[in-house]
Order: sequence, then structure tokens, then C-alpha cells
Amino acid sequence: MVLRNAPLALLALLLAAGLILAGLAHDAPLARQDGLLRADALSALLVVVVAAHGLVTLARGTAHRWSAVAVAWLVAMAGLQGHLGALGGLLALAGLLTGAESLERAGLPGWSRQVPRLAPLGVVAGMALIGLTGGEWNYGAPLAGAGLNSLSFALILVAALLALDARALAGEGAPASAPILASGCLYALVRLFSLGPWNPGWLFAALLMGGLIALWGAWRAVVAPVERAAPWLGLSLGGMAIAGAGMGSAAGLSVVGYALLLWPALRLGLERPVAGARALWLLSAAVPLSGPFVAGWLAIAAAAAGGVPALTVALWLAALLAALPPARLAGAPRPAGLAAPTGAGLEQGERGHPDAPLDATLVASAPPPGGEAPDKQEPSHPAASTGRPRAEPGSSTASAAVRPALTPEGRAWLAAAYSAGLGLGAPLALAGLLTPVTAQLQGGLTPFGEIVAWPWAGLIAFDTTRQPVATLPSVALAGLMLVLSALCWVALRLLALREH
Amino acid sequence: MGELLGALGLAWPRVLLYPGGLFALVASLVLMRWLAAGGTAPAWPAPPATVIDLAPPLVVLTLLPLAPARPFPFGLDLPVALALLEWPRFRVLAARDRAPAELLRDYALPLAAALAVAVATGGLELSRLLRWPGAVPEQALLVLGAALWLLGLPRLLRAGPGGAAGALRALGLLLVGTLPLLGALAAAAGPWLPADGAGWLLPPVAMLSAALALGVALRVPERWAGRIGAAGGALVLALAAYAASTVR
Repeated sequence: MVLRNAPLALLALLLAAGLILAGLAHDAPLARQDGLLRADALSALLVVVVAAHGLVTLARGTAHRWSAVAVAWLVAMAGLQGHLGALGGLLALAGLLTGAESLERAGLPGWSRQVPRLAPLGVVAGMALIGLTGGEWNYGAPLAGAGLNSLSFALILVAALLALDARALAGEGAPASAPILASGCLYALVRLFSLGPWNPGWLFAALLMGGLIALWGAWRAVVAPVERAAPWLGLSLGGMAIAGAGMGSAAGLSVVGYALLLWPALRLGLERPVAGARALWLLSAAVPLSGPFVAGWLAIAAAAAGGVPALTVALWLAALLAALPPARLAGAPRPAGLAAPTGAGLEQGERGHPDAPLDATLVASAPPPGGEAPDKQEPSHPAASTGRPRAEPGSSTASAAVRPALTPEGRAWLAAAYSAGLGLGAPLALAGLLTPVTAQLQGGLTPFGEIVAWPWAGLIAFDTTRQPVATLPSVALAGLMLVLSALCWVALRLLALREH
Repeated sequence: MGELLGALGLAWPRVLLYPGGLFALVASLVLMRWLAAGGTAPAWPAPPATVIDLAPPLVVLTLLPLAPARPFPFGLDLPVALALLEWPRFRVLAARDRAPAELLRDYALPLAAALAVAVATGGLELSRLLRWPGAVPEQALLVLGAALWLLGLPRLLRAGPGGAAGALRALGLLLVGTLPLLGALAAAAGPWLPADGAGWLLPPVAMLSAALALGVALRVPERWAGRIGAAGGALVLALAAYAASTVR
């Protein structure tokens, strides 16, 4: 019992540690052992994000729970390293351990599965190049940025793109990104701001790649079958984060942080989803004040504040497109009389063509209203004929381990709550987690745009002259919407009475 | 907190009378008649009127920066306004099998218009659309943006839901396109019209002008609207590049 719940406890501990660290490093970075261990707000954000991803992996069900825990802890520890070599090394080690987990995507060719797990080697190479060229391995040291050059930047950017599995855009299969590793590689990319400002060429490269991936990923999410949209939406969100980094401003970094925080919610609700769960509406950017809506707004506002109108429109379009798959999934008819909510459907699908539409019955279903235990339900599909999820081929003991900790319906509701909390609480997330990041990396940022909490109103984006360029008065909107909803309800009741 | 509660408390004329409330209801009904006369009534069946569909477009109408209503300190920007106005359509769209390419075509002109006005006014806030820029390229961009917005509306309205929520959505989209016209009118009439008079006189004139322009756009064949839109989009890009090169 203790051993079975240990992965969950370890990840919950990591999450708590991340939140405590965010509080401790809110005002200034913490350093120990001559800077070899260094924690700032960005480190705390990474710890929170990877812990959330780990918890999502457990909730969704995996045969490699300990591997997920180890990878999350290793990436979190990488975030606490002040030594560039140690940072890259721990990420690479996490990549090697990620192998077992990525094998779940058995529908992809073997070499394809190796790309994201080997991506951190790019970070190792980039960090080593910085250390060797500049002669300083501690990124907190005054002259640490001396070794940062175009080659090291390119290596780390490419590593982030490979960890997101952006090369899947050119192929037919779904991306096989490893979200924890990708978060680590994005952290490494953003960490470069600690070394100094990026030159315009690097900013442009990141902007271009990020905007392209965000838009193309959103497009692929729309054209893919809805139950397979999650990896594409994750890729699109990752593209948005890279574009945010490419803006090189405080506003851009807010986009990176918010996208990283939102990603676990999308995975939780949309990986192995349940069709027809109304809660999934809250994972659509079309729903005002949801997490994806605010993420889209942040990206658009940051691009507008940075004076990049073409990117503004591209990210706007990406947000519009990305809003559709979760909405379609939520609006889909709920398959009736299905078997256990095992989450086995997508695993079954993953053995076929990665983008092939799923049989409707393969989408994980919710338990019946009676709340009967899944194992006792009447199986209606061979995939769930035992009432248990499918395990990896050849693994007789894995079937119990793959069993998701939460039913798909439960995951959908939890993801919806996370998304709503992140959307409505965006000013708090900004003030508590993201503003300290931008403040501590200020030395490497450009002044082109800042997004701040608008006291008792919502969020506001300023351009370089401190003029507001975009406004999201979420609190005022919510208040006004309550008033208007009450008025509309009264009017509709009166109309109904008149008709009767 | 006090400021927010105060602003909400002072917003009751906006909520009940103008630009939301009574005005929104009447004007949306008139607009739907006008659209039906132009053969562009929303083609999708009207979903039952529900609070969840009515409230978001009504919020946008309530918060539009239209005189003579008292200014609301927490204004919206274009992406938020468009998202709230498109909510009823998205609800229906989720259940319909509309090709992604069609979706892109629906929003191509409104987004080109947004690009134009963002460059012309230097931001995305709705209140900025009322500010008539000083330089000629920005003025041209703002006019072009308003024209593209109105030209893109027939397609967006045709492929949309009917009913009360659809009508409020249509009115909101039209009034957003009205704002640059109002700014241009205010700049032109500023020297000889007192501010109070302008606040009462110009909004109806701008709204009628926009509705008439929409009537013209309704009669443009869709193929031609696409071509004009493509040419307008190219012009927007050229002007935006020129404006950017002169500003920064």
C-alpha cells in the first residue's frame, strides 16, 4: 500500500517543495555551495510544472510510474543547479530514463521515439560550449555570459524543439513529446536570459520558430481526430512558449511561464479523453476566462506590446484554431453503455496509425450514473473485456500499474477546475509565480512589453512607453457577466411565462 | 476593490439602457431585419436562447466605448471582444462539421482588419479605435481596417447562429467596425461641433453609416469579396511595413 502510493507522495512532495521554493525565492534567488546550487523564481516554476506533469502522468495511468517520478525529480533537480554542466547532465540523465515511458507510444517507429529523449544532449552540448568558451560554469557568476554564442544558443533552441517533437509537423504521425523533458529544455532556453540579453538574430529565430510551431500545431490539432488532438495542442502551446521567449521581454516570459503552467491541464483533460464530458469545454480557448483563453490573450498581448503585429495575428489564429478540438470533444455525443473508464482506448489507437480516427467506442468512457465500480461493469468492447486497461505487450504485471488513478470523467473535471482556477486566478499566478521570474531575469530582457496584474480588474499589457496596448479586465468582466446573467435569466423567465 | 465596485455601480445606464440593455435589444432586432433584407440572415438554426449564450455578447455591447454613455474604466480589447462575441457561434460550431479551411477563411478578413488597426493605433484596445491617428499611413490603415472588417462580416454572419444570441453577436461585430468610423467622424467634425453635441450626434451617424456600408458589403458577391479582401490584405501588409519602418 505504502509502496503503491509512494510515487504519488513523492510527486506531491515535489509540488509542495516547488510552491515553497516559489515563496522563498520570490524576492531574490537563493544560492548555496558557492552558487553550485541556485534556486530562483524560474527554478521554482520548473519544479511546480514538472511535479504537475508527473501527477498528470500518474492520473492518466502509466506502466512506468517510478520512471515518471524519477524523471520529474531529475528535471526538478536540474532546475536547482547553478553549474551549467550539472544542469545539462541531469536533463540528459532524465532523457535516458524517459525512454521507458515514451515506449507507450508504440504506434511510432523506433527511431522516432528516441528523438525527444535524446534532445537534452543538445542542452548538454550547448551548456558545455558556454562553459568551455567563457571559462565560467556557474551561470550566476558575473562573467558567465561571455561564453554564450550563436552555436550554443542554436543547440539549446534545437534541443527544445526536438523535446517538443516539432519535427512531427513535417510527418504524418502525432508528436511524441515528453512534456517533462520538454519543460526542462524550455527552462534551459529561458535560463540563457540569466547570461545576458539575446541578440536580435536569436530573438528572431525563436519568434519565427515559435510562431510557426504554434500555428502549425494548432492547425494539425484541428485536422486530427479530436481525441488525438492533445499532443498537437501541447506542441502548439510549446510553440507559443518559444515565441514568448523570442519576444525577449517581460511580457514574453509571462507567456512562457503561463504556457508551462497550463500544459498539465491540457494533458490531464485531453489525453485519453472522455467524449461528451461537458467539463472539457473549460479547456477550450473559446470559453471566456478559461486557462487557454488567458494563455491566448497573453500571447496576443505580448506580441502586440512587443510591436510584432504579424506574430500577434498568427498567435491569435493559433488560439482560435486550438479552441476547436476541446470544444468538439466536449460537444460530442457521449458513447452509451461502454465499459470501464480505463483510458485504454488511446493506447489501443496508438498501435495503429497515429492519426487514424478512433472507433467511438475506444474513447474512454465515463462510469454510468449509478457509479458502479469499473471492474464490475459489463464489458462491451474487447479492449476492455477484462474491465482493465491494456498493458504493454509482453507485460503481464503492467496491467494493474497502467490503471489510471482517476476516471476520465474525473480527470476532465479536475482539468476543468485547474483551467478555471488558472484563468480566473491569472493575476495571482502572475504576481506569485511569473512576475518574480521576469524581475529576476530583467538583466537579459528587452523593454518591449510587460504584462502586469491590474489591481482588482484583471491583466493589462504595456508597451515600451508604458502605454496600455491590451486589457483583460477578467474580474470586472466576471462581475458584469454575473449581473447580466441575472438580468437575462429574469428576462427569459418572463418570456417563458408569457408563452405559457 | 472600491474602484471596481464603484465602476460597476455607475455602469447601470450601460447595462440597462445604452449601449447594452434596451438599445442592444432593439438595435439587434433592426439589424437582423436589415440582414434579412440583404439576404444574409444567419443560415445556422437558432439554438434556444440561454443565459450562457446571451451574456458574453451582451457584455461586449455593454462595455463598448460609445458616447454619450459614461466611460467605463475597465475597457476591453479587440481579441477579448471578438472572443466574447463569437462565443454563441463557437458553441454551435463545436457540434458542426465545418472544415478547418472554411474556419480560416471566415476569420481571414477580420484578422487582417485587426492587424491593420493594431498597427494604425499602436494597440488592441477598443478605445484606441476611436483615436484618429495623425500620420497619413496610419489613417489609411485604420480606414482600410474598418473596411476589411465590414467586408468580412457578411461571410461571418451568414455562417453563424440566428436567434437572440446571434442577433446580439451580429450587432456587436457591426459596432466594433463602427468605432473607427466614429473616430474619423469625430476628427472631421471636431473643429465645428461642440463636444456634447458630437457625443449625441456622431454615434448614430456612424452606426447608420456602418449599417449602410454593411448593406453594400452584403451585395458584393462572395468571390469578389475574397478578391477585394486579398488585395486589401496585401495593402495592409505593405502599409504596415511602411508604418513600422517610419515609426521604429
